[in-house]
Amino acid sequence: MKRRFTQVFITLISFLTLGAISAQAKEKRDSIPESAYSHGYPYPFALGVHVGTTGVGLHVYQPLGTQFGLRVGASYMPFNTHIAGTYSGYATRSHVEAKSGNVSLAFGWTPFVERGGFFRSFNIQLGAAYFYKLEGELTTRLRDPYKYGEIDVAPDRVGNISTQVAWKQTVNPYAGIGWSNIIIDSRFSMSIDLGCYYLSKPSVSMEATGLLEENVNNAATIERNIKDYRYLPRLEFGFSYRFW
Amino acid sequence: MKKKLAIYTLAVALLGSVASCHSPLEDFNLQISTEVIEHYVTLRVVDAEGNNVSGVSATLVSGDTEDIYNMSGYKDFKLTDNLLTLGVDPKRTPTANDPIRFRVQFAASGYNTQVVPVAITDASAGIQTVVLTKPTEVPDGAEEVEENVDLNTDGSTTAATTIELPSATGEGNMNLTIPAGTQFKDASGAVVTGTSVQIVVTSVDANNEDAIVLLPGGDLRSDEVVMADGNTAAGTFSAAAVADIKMLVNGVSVKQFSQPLVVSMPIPANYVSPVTGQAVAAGSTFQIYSNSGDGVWRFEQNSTVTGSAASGFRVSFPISHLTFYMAGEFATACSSARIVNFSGDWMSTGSTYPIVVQAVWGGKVIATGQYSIDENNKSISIMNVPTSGVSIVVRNSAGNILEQGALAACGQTTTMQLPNPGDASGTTSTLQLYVRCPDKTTTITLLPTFQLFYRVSGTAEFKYLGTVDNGFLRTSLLKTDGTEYDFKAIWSDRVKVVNKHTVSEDNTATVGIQPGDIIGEKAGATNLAILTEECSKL
Repeated sequence: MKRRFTQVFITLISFLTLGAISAQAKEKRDSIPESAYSHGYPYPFALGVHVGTTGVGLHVYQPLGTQFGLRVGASYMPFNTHIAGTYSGYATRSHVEAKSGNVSLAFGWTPFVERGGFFRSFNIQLGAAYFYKLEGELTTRLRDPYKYGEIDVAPDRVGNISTQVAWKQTVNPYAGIGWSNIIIDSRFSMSIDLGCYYLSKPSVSMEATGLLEENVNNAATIERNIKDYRYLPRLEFGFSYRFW
Repeated sequence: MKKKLAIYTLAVALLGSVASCHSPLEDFNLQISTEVIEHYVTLRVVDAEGNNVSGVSATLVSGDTEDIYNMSGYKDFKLTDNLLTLGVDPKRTPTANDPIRFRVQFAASGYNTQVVPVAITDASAGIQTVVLTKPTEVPDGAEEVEENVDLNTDGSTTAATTIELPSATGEGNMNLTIPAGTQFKDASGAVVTGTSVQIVVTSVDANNEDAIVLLPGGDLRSDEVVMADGNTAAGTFSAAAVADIKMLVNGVSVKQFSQPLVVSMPIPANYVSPVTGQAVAAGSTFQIYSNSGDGVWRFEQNSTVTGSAASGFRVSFPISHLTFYMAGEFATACSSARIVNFSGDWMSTGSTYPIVVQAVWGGKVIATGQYSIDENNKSISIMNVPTSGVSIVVRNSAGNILEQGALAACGQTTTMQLPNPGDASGTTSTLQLYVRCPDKTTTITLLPTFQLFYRVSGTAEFKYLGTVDNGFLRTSLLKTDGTEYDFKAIWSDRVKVVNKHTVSEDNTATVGIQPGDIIGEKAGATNLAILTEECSKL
């Protein structure tokens, strides 16, 4: 799954790179126009790709004057991994499968655009995202073969614990900061965003099989532990192609 | 500057919010059920009076024993209180068509060693009782005589001798005739010499429940019988007469003779064949089976009945070895276990009741087992009963008949609807046990299954209350009027007795060390040690 994630990201990067090469093939590269520095957001508008804690995706920047701008984006994150842990003295190995998908709209204010320098494109963002998917599943098994007395218990008899965590499909507010227009060259700029979505209350459901069946009683414990998991951090790096 | 301060504050707040979250698995209490073994049989070992026997050793002596363990998963077979529970490795699933069969030997100092056949299927095998008898005690339904017969220097009898004793069944005496010049041999066939041979002859009424325990396996059912055609089968005997003959020369156990002896046994005039339905008469034929102590009954010969109803019927036959001889009929059993499914409206209330199930053949009880029945455990298995003509009688713990009916044919399941085995008009009480491990705040419900016995305080005998499943049992057998009970729980290799305890309708309790929990007063430290040890296994 990690490979697929990388492939998607490389495809998006390639798409933009090809676009840039095609444009360069038609005309000789221009110098960076003054207008690029006069706006906090890429001017007149930009299309880009990004990767971050909420996945990979596409975005469009549209400045609204020199100090304000809009960012419309879509992200998707398929994420698989394994984690190890020891609980009640038993070593476990969990397969984690998370999926997150959203479309977002953020309004930004670049207060220091007129000063220039590093903070020129620094902006404060407010917005929201509709998460059409935000869920995760942990499938936990004992890491080591289980022995009961002198009996080697088969893994399927030991069973597993499946924990599903899901947030409602709804619009979630967002606040954050970032640099939306770090100019690289005449066409490309980079962006860095750091912020947080405020999510709906997560729900937990558990299923367990075999000798681990009784562990569904831990659902309430997990739900209590993650009741504050309502802040989804967003750290995102992006590359944009400015159209001018 | 104010702008920057606001920005930094926002950033710190965002990171702080994220960092303030708990680990999702904080306080996650991973529990692994100890109910690894699903299929098991429980054997209860008592003496002829129903009392516990001390120092009983248990050994799996033959059969399909490779996957048999104790309930802790070890090949260490010891009785807990008077119970031995033998379970099957979960990698195997025994079924009615493919039961796991083996034999268990029980030995105790001062008692006759008993070897019993055992079978486990995916239906409840219940609690089977094994009675150990003392060689010095002759139970009701048995007659015994001991005589010494002089021997020549070559170990032969000096004269023809007839040993007589009142027969335990039928009219007249049982006779054992030893021709003159008979020599006695040990198991290897070597002649044993001495000044005399000590002969103990026991006549057994195999239809007497006190005397039947003297038979090999303590049962008229057998898992291994070599029949007249040489084939081996499991099944049930209808015994007309049984003799147990033991001989010792100079302390050596006699197994064979240089020439045949003759046994003559009375046959009860009221014997009716459960196979043919015919009453015994002169000219009737009985099969003679022997058992040399290896648990296998072997066909020896047919013997014709002589005599009359007035003078008494009798069979006579020669014998060449010792020790048990039976005149009777043998009915083969189905190759598969017989399954009985119970149902009843009372099951839906979550109640658990002990029942006694008897298999009756030819008007005689040939199998008895005690079972704990509830919604989740309502199938039982019965082994080695005849293919036809068997009826099932179900009794409650008071001995009253709940239901009876014919046992279905081989391969078919018998279904029986049971009325409430408890006191339908009495108050139902619920026992719910939770456990709170010493290092935890929450209780666990993952409790091992255990057997619970009870008695009214001050009385002698513990009665079976049933199987406590996951700490829960609901019954109307206990009075909630302030009657004090003693409870005995047997779990794996542990026995816990709680004396003088009254019950109410709701008897929820938590074993633990938190305020309000119970850890016991008489042996609190011991109980805590047990709790800590068992919690470490979860």
